[in-house]
Amino acid sequence: MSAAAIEPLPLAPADRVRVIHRSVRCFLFGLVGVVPCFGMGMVWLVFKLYRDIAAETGEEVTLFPLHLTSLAGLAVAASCFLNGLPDGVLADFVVLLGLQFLFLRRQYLKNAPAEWNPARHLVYWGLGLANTGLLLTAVVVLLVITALNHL
Amino acid sequence: MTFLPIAVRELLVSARRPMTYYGRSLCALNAACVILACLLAGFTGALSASSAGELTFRLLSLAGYAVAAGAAALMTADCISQERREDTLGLLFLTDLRGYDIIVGKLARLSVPIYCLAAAFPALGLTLMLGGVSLGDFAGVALALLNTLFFYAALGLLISARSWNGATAASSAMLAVLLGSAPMVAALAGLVLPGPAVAFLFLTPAGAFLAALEPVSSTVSRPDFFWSLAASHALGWLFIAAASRRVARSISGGEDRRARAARPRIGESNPAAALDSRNTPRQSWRLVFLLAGLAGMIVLVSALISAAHWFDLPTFLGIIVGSHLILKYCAANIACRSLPSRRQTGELEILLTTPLDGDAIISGSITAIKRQLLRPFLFVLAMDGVLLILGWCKVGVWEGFFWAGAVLLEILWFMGNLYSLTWLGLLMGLKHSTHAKALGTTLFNILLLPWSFLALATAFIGVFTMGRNLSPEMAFMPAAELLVALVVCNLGFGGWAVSELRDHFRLLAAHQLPPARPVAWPWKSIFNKLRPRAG
Repeated sequence: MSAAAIEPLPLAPADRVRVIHRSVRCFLFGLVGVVPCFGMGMVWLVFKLYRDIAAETGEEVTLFPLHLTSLAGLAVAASCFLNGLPDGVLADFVVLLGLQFLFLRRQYLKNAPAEWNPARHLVYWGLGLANTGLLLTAVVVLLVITALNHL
Repeated sequence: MTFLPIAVRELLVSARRPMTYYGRSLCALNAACVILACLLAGFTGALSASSAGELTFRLLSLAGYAVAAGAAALMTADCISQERREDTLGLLFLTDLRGYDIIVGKLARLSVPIYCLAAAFPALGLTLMLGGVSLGDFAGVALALLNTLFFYAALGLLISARSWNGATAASSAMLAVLLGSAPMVAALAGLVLPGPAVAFLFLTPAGAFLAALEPVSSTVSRPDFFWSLAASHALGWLFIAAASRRVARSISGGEDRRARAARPRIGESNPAAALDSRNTPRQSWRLVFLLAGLAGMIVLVSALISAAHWFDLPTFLGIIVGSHLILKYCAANIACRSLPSRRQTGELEILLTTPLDGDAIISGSITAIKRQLLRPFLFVLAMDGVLLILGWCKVGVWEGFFWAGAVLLEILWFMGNLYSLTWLGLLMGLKHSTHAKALGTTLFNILLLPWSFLALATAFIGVFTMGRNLSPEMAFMPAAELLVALVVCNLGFGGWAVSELRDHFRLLAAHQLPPARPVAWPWKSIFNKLRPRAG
């Protein structure tokens, strides 16, 4: 019997009610996480919930471009900050936000979970909001340091 | 036969626990941050080298005393009572173990705070080089701290040997720490203590600590240091002997009178809330009286310190913060006890076999906690309102706005803390095996952890500026960082507790922790993707 003939075992059926509850919670945590600095506690919870939901519904987690763009954006923002260009930091933030929005949208449309989750869009909204909070925090910290340097 | 087998077992358990190492590192880090902050303040000329050394020494010693006394009492307060509740104490006596084997073995739990203290001692020793502190002062404080650890651990063991209920044991041990330290705090505040209070101070480790910390103190002088140390140490051994005797005599156990309490309330919509609401009226009134007593005590102490200025803002602030802290502690205590006590009596298992889901059981427990704390909470709010108005009248209309804003912020903060402490307490109660551990973790994560961020922020600023050009505006950054850390810790831990309880309640209730998944660090996904593939 060839290896190709062996079909993968079906996933254990997901508890749909729990998945929906988690998705709604992911969105709510994302709403809190968008507040710069103060919402940081919620950001990691959103990412954790996203991974848990993806594991339960059999969805592939590909956050690589999100993390890579964040890293690159942070490097650009830091170089702007070191050269005394606060406008550059803001511009970098806007470009980064647009890029990541496009990436998340593409992933939402392209990735198909094995289990249907009617509240899947809320998970992605939560993820986007949490990521925005993360970026806003970085911008606020850099701007505060700039302001303190001017004092 | 192995010498003290229980001690060996306790040491092995501590050695395998990651928190043993994290706690030690955190202690060393905090001590180093305090040293750095004072050192850099000295660079700016705000402090001379010797006064910086003395200030750091005092700060670190006082923090060490608080940590040693609190940790020793909390770590030992529930160790015997837990064995008794789980009916394992009798099993221990089926072997050839004796009472002192068990008690001295349980003392080995102190290895964790001893490591933490040992990690902080090098930082304390740095003050010797700064000046203002002699080798004798350093050695005296180190000895006094170790004695404090031993004394309160022995007292905690005695309390534990006489208790059945974990929450009562932990609260009694903490109360003993507060009572034992109160004369020292009063002496440090400059009060002249009456004779009985000095005698009491002499018998507690606080006497030796005060003598080591303040060689010129009028309350306990330096020659009294060794006498106080010896007296409190001997008292500690007496506590150990009494605890050993008590343990050996109480194997028959099972004397929980409170377990035979009144029946649940009839007509309650949520059975979980009904089960939790048995002792509500009595406990809540007791707490109200305790809070009123605390307010009276603070007023009395203020009047003793300064008869002319006792009716002033510091007194009001003391009452507000003190009552808030007590209520926060009570909320965490009740929350940590709520579900585990139901699990122990088998009620939780029965509830889980009914059509009630996890959410209903949790909301029932939360309703019961709210009901228990409603009267004290309203009392505290009323007291805050009265003090706010009194303070406003005292400082005038326009200046009063700042006072009112600060009090309102504190009240908001207090409400937020109560919410997070309740949720995290419920989760930790289910996750940890003992009440003391659950309570300690809850209080540490919500109330203490943010202050570590303050120490880190101060050290960061000091290193960033190298102590030069420090200005009052710079204080804005640590203050802002503390505020952010307070909110982040509350929201983060609160949200995590809500999430875990709602998702894994049945697993947690059955004492089967959900399978841990490796943490997905962002850089791992980047490295995995960028790594060149073979072939």
